[in-house]
Formats: sequence, C-alpha cells, structure tokens
Amino acid sequence: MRQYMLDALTVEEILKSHNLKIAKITKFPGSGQRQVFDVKFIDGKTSILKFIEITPYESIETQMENSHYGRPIEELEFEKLKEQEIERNSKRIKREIQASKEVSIFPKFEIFDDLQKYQFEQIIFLYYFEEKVDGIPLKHSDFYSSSMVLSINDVLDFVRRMLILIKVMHNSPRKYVHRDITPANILVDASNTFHLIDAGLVKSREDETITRHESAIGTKRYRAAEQERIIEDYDWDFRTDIFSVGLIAIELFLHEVKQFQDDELRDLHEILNIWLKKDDSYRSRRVFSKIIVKLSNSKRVKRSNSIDGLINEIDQILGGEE
Amino acid sequence: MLFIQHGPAWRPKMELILQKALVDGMIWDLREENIERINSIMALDDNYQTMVKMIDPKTYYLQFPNSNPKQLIDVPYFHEGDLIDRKYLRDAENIERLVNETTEFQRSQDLDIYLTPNFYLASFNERIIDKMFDIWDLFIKDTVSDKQAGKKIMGSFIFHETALNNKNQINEFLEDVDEFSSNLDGVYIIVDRDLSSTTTRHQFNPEKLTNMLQLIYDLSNMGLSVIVGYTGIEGLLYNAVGAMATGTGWFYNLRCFNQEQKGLVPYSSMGRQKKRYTSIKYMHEMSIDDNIFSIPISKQEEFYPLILEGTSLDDKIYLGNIDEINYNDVYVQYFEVMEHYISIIEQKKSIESKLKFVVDLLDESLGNIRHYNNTLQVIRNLPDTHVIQYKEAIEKFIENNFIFLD
Repeated sequence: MRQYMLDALTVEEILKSHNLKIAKITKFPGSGQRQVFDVKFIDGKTSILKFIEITPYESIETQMENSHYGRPIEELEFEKLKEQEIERNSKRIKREIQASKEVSIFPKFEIFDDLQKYQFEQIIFLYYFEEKVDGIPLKHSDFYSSSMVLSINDVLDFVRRMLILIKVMHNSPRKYVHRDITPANILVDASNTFHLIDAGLVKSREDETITRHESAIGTKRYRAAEQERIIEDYDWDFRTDIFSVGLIAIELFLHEVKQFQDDELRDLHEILNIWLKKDDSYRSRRVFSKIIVKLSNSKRVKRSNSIDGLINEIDQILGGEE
Repeated sequence: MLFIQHGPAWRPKMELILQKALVDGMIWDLREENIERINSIMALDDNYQTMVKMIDPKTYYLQFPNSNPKQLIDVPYFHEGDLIDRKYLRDAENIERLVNETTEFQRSQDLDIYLTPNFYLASFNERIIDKMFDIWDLFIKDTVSDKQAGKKIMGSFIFHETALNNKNQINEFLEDVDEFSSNLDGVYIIVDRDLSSTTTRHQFNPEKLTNMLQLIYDLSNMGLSVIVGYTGIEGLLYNAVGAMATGTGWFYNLRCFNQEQKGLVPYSSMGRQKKRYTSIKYMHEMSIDDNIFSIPISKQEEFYPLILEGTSLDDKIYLGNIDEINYNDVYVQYFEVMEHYISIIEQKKSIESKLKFVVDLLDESLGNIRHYNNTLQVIRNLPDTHVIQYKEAIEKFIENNFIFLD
C-alpha cells in the first residue's frame, strides 16, 4: 500500500495550528491506512492521535499514465475521479467515528468536534484524537502468554466478558459488528478489564453497500469464512465477531495451537482432540460442545444465534448447573 | 409434538385419535377432503378446538403437469390450468397472486399456523429457490397483522430425498433461510422419499438421514420451529434433534411421502395392507400375522412382553385372533406408541439427553431383533438394516456436532 509517512515534527506543526500545547509526541508502529501517535499535552493529559491517509493515489497514477500517452483525463473528470476515490478512502474512518460516538465500548472521540483534514500538495490525511485507553494488547499480556496456564473457568470468563462487549455493539441502534477482533485489538487494563479497540472495520447494518471490490476483510487468522469473500449487501451480524472470540479462547486454553496454521486452528475436530488431552472432564467437554463450537463453527448459520443464550450457558457451567 | 397428517378415510380414525388425546395438532390435506366438510365435522367435535391446525397448501402439485390434484381443484388459490414453471414464475403478478390467494384462503379458515405456498425442490440449488424466497418475502409482508394477532407464520417446501446428498448446497440454502429466521416462526418441510433403493419399510440411507437430522437441527438452532410432514418411526429421531413436531398418519403413504404414491406423477398401486403392531422396542411396525402371531405358543410368554408397548391393542394381541383386530385398532395403536415416545423425548431438557434416549432405544431394538431372529423360527425374520442405518446416522450427527452424550 502506498503511504506517505508522517513524522513527529510535522504532526507537532499540525497540532500547533490548533493552538494545542504539546509536551511529547511518540509514533506507534504503523498499521495499514493509519498512523498513530501517543500525544502528551503540557497539562499532563494524554490522547491518541490518528492520521488516516485518503490520498487518491489511483486517480493520480491513472492521470500520470494517461498523460504519458498523451491523452490526459479532462480536468473536471479528473477532479471527479479524485473526489470519488477520497470518498471511498474516507468511508472506513467515518464509520469508525460514527461507531465511537454511538457505542459506549469504543474509545471516545475527543479534543476536536469533527474529523480534521491535512493536505500537503496532493497528499491528504484525515485526523482525530481518541481517548487513550490504558492497557496492553491481549497478545502481549500475561493472560495470553504461553507461560500462563488458564483453567476452563478463566477461558469462560474471558468469553463471557467479550460476549458482553459484542452484545453492546449488537444492541446499539445500528447493530455494529467489529469484524476485526484479534488479540491485538483487545486491550487488558490494570484491573483486568477488556476493551475492544481499532474499530476500523466496524460495520453497521445500515451502512452503505460496498462499492469497490474487497476480496477479504479482517485479520486473516481470526476472520470468519464470511469475511473471506465479501458479498454486496451481506447482512453482517454478531455471529462474525463471536467466531473470532472462539478462536482466541482456543488459543488461551491451548497455547500450543498458537503455532498452528490458520486452517488448522479452524479444524474443530482436531482441536477437540487436543482439548480433551488437556482436560477431558465433563465440564471441559461441555464447554467445547456448548460454547466453543457455537462460537467458532465455520458456517455462520451453525453458530449460536443468541448472545444471551451463550451467556446463560456459560453462567450455568460456571454455576455448576447440569 | 405429534401432529396428524390428514389423509383419506380420515373421520373415524381422527375421532379415535383425538378422543385419546394422542396428538397436538393436525395438518389438513385439501387434496383429500374439501374444506366445507372439514369445517362441518370440526364444528361437531370439541376435541378439534384444542388442536394446532394448519393446512398444507400443496401448491407443488402445480409444478407437475401430470399430477393428480384430486380435490385441490376446488380450493380457490389452486388454479388447475396454471403450471408453475419458469414462464409462470417470470411473471411477478403470478407470484403475487399465488401468495395473496393462498394467504387469504388460510386467513379465512380456523387455523393457527399459516404456511407459504410450497414448491418442490429437486435439489437445494435449484433456480426455483430464488422464487421461493421471493414468495417468502411477500408472504412475510402480507402476514404482518396476522403475526401480530398471534398466528404463526411459516415457510414451507418439499424436497426430493436425493437433495440431501449435497451438504454444501444444503449449507448455502440454510444461509439464505437464515435471512428469514427473524421474521418467520418456523418451517414446514416434507421429504419426498426415494423408495427405489429401499427394500424394507423403514430404511433411510444413513448419509442422507444424517444430513436430514442436521437440516432440522440447523433450522431449529436458527430459532425456527420445525415441523416435518409425512414421517414414520424415524420421526423419533427428528424430534430428538429439535423438530417441534412431526406429522404422521394412519396409512403408509401418510408416514412416508413418495411422489408416485402421492400422485405427483402417474402411478397405480396394488396390494392389501397388513395389520401391524408398532413396537419401538423393536423399532418396527411389525406384521401382526407374520411377526407376532407366528411366535410359537411356548415362546409367547417370553416375547410378548418384549414386543408389546402397553397399548390398547395389547389385549387383542394376547387373544391371538387377527380377525378380531380391525385396521382402526392398528392405527390408533401406532399413534399411542408414537405419542408415548415423543412425549418422553419432549420431557428431556437437553439435546444430549434426548439423543441418549434415542440411541438407547436403537441399541435395545437391535438387541431385541437379534434375539428374536436367533431364537424364533418365524415366517419372516425381522430386518435390522434400518435400525443400523438410524444408529449410524445419529452417531455421525452426534460426532459432527460435537455432542457428548454421557
């Protein structure tokens, strides 16, 4: 992916134009379209600053190529093409902002009331501040560490808490689906509370139809089958998110599967063999049969169609009800 | 639950079954009886009032140019001249009319469940399926107020048994059905059984049966109430995996839908039916003459308690005179047994306990059949093929769905 790299100095200049008093800016390693900075203000407050590049590279390159062959696109048409591409490139971030305003579990939009635009020659960025959630990604936490031996109850507790977060998204008026729940996008804070971050792929049922071809969506290892080949007007729902939670739960309980290939992780018959080797108690089998299979079945229609049903089942198992 | 699959020669049988409170509902067949007669008879018998009532629209008869629709031709939505083919389905007005008239007719009757017009599917990826879902869409829109008034609205279709061969097609079909699961209360389905490859009464290819069980289970997990029409003793398996109800009747062709026997294609049948005693302990509808009365007197004391199910027919079996047993006794006995076992399945809370119960029944019946065949020199051995098939299918289903029975 083409990307213009921003440095801390440039960012500081941009923020100065908003009269913001900055003490320190630290850049996080980049991820896709976005460049993320940890910003500390003079008054001690910290916030996360995200820049999303929306430069219409395709249109610009098409124009360059056409000009090279002596038949440039007319100016008005070229502007229209660029606008359309900018609109497409902005779609995800607009969704994310909308979701953060509507769903309580996402980090809050702060400092600016709206998305800001930064343009440098043909390069265009949108940027905004987001509440900084203290915590470390699950993938770097003790919880996920291979040295940590988790019990069935620990795993159930994790699943239960993730289901509650998913339920908040599902119960929002626009029924959001995260579509990228991974150990990197779950933060664990000091009180062991889980937070979902990076709602860049969030989708509501009311969102517009995808107008460009997208071959797959979400992080490969954790994405559900329906994310592999996107169909226009696909009716997304929470069952896509619970799929990822099930796979992460398997990784938490069976550390050895972290080395598995993606397709091996999805082979529930093989996973069951390993699961039972670790714990073949009645409770363990019940968790696999009633929870894991209902979360991570490769077919969406075979997953549970009720978050409350899953939570109730977990409560029954945790409560020792038969 | 157990529903009566309505069919020919119904009145005395139905009255007996209702008097004994052996069923929870009925699926009327307007091919066999006109609605005016049904209504006039229902008006005279309070037992009908507590039943769940539905009509199978049987619009699939219009897909077969040489079918024998019998009394369906008198039903307002059934236009005999219309052949439901591609040309018919291309015209949106035809589809709208089919939905409107079928719904309006059901609305005008004393029914608890309204069904969509139903199509015959040779496989689960037929082009007609798109039209079927268009119909479901229209039906849902058309019945909003009925649903609010407490009526249950259900999708409906019939498919050939060979459609169960292709799991991928079934799964894709289910993805589409899933889109209706929040608007429909359930589905009413019928399997057109392929009897060409079966040699005994209850056989069901285990792979296809596994897929049938999976279909019911998946539909039920979508939150849909599943009613399976035209079932026999395999209906016990359907109930165990989540069917809300199974429809069954007195004649064999009400326990097993077959396109020839049900007049979708021309067919003439011959033969006289046997008087049968249904013993789930043997997972059989046993021929009373061939399999029970032929047991030597010296062995009756041992075998009768093993076979008999504590039904109203048992006394007559002990008397041993086939002429004393009339066909209605036999039909009622079948319903008594099915109601008994389905009630036990329904009382069990978890799918594990339901399946365990059925697996135990199958094991017990296999043991009983082997004991029977090894011990007795009767006219005809009891086949156990179907029991082995049922067991194989249910075990595969259990494995596929990661269900633990203990």
